[in-house]
Amino acid sequence: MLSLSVPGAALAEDEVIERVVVRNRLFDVGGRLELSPSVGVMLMTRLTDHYTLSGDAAFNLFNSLALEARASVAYTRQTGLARRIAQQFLERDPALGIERADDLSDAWQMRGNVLAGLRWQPIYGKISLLAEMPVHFQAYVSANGGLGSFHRVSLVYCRALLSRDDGTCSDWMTEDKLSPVVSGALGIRFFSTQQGSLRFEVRDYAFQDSYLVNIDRAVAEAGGATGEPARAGITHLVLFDIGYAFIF
Amino acid sequence: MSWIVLAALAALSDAEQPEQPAPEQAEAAAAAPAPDAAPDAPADADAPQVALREPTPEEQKANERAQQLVSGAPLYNPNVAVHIVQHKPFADRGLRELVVYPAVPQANGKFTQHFGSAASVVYHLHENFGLQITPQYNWYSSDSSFNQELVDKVRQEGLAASTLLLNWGVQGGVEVTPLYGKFAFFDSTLAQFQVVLSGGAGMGSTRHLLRPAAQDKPASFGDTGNKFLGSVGGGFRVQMGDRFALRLEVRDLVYTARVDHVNGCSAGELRQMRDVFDGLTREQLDAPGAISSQVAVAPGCQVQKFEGVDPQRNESRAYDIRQALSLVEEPSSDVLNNVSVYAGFSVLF
Repeated sequence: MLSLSVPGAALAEDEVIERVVVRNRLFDVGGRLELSPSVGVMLMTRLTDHYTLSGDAAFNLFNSLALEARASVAYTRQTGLARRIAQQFLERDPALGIERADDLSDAWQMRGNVLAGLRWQPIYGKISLLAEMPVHFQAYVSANGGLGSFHRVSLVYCRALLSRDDGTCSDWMTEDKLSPVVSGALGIRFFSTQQGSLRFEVRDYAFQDSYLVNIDRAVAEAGGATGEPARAGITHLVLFDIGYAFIF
Repeated sequence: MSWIVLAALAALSDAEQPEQPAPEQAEAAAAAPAPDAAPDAPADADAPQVALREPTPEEQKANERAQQLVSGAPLYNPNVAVHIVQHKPFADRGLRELVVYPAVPQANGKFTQHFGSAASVVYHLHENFGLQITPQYNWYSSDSSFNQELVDKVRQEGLAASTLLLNWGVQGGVEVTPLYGKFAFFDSTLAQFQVVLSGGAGMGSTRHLLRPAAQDKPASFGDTGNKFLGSVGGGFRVQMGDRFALRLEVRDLVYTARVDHVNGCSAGELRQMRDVFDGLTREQLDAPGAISSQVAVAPGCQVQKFEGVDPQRNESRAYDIRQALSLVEEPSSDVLNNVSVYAGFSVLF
């Protein structure tokens, strides 16, 4: 090993070194296919909780642009907070208090989705984790659109009251639907070999919310139909995904 | 700034070092009898004849370029693998850094939502270690839309301690930059960056929503005192020239929240005020000293914040008494994590 210390190197020479260091991509992905399994968890839960298992297939048109298709299935549930809200609300006798109620927003659970879109990955760099171990990475943003499968359990629409005192219901109103989904992600991947990289991303799924308002609780608890559709907004589910991309 | 250390690995050219035998040749050599096993054999009898020739002009040019040194290293020699250990072009040691974070939005607002601004002064004791102090002011702090929806639709809300709001905070501590890297944007723009980790402790002022905003009336809040703050965070600092940098960090302000006083008044003192409030007419409530003249409270209890007319709401502040009492009648405590994104820029000097 030869080590040299050279003071006062000319600017032109420094320029050459900079360009060599930065432009010499160790990991080229242009023209290559990649397959990525990943798992995701919600960063912050309110009424619903999601754990996703996703598969992502992408073809890198260039080093900086890829076409991608993605499919996810999710284990979903209402949070403990949502269950407590529903229970405490049910404990209130509609005859003594709130006769008509509006359901809560953002209570849909996304059971699965299929997406397609683009991934833009203009940033390539390297970071020195240890003195002799530079790690190359690529940062990207992703935009996708597709279809999702959703399930919803109402927090105020009880169709068969079990116990007022305990706030239990044997038949909360449930709904299922297929709905368009758009998704955006911000991520970074660290190359481990020419054939693989570890991916971390924050992904937002956005879809149209829907729920009922002006629900007559007495009618609902008697098993009748009541309520009218709300002018609902957009629900966002933000998940943190971690996965590994196999690059072919 | 332009000192560069270059290390050449396995870097001897053809002329300086004989080639290693190819694997097949090595195996053949190992299988062949040793020279002393056949001493009488004619040496080099079957050796191939090699004709030496002058290099072509192209080869001569390539050879000259291969021998050209860049900052002392044969960077263009195809037979040399140059490992470049390059000094950071920007040194931090001994410098002070003034950071301004114009936008600090809360990222985990479940029951509360904060938007604020912050500044930070960092003194870089060493290249990778500094001391920092960060004041922060939240110019918006109120219940989240989720909490308001719970109140409006199901008459429920988060516990008082879980919905405590942070007015301002000051925390000081350390900052370390253990990782350094660089990236190219579209292969054309080069940027150096560091991973920044920070931690600290300090104090923060808290408040709680008493009555939400309604139509043209702003919300009213009660002071819930100063709390101890802890802070941990991480992010990136991207160098822009030798004096400026952009920063993007996520920090978690952790504070213990126990709500047992509102505007310095305990539950017992608030009960006294409520009893007085219940006995007054609307006109009497508007009079100065309507409450304080009839209750005996400790010096820390700021009764004046519960009496007189609030000019912004145009109604008596005494209407806050019941809400304040409901917050402290059943004291609640929680450990709050206020996770915010700090986006800003800095100047080094």
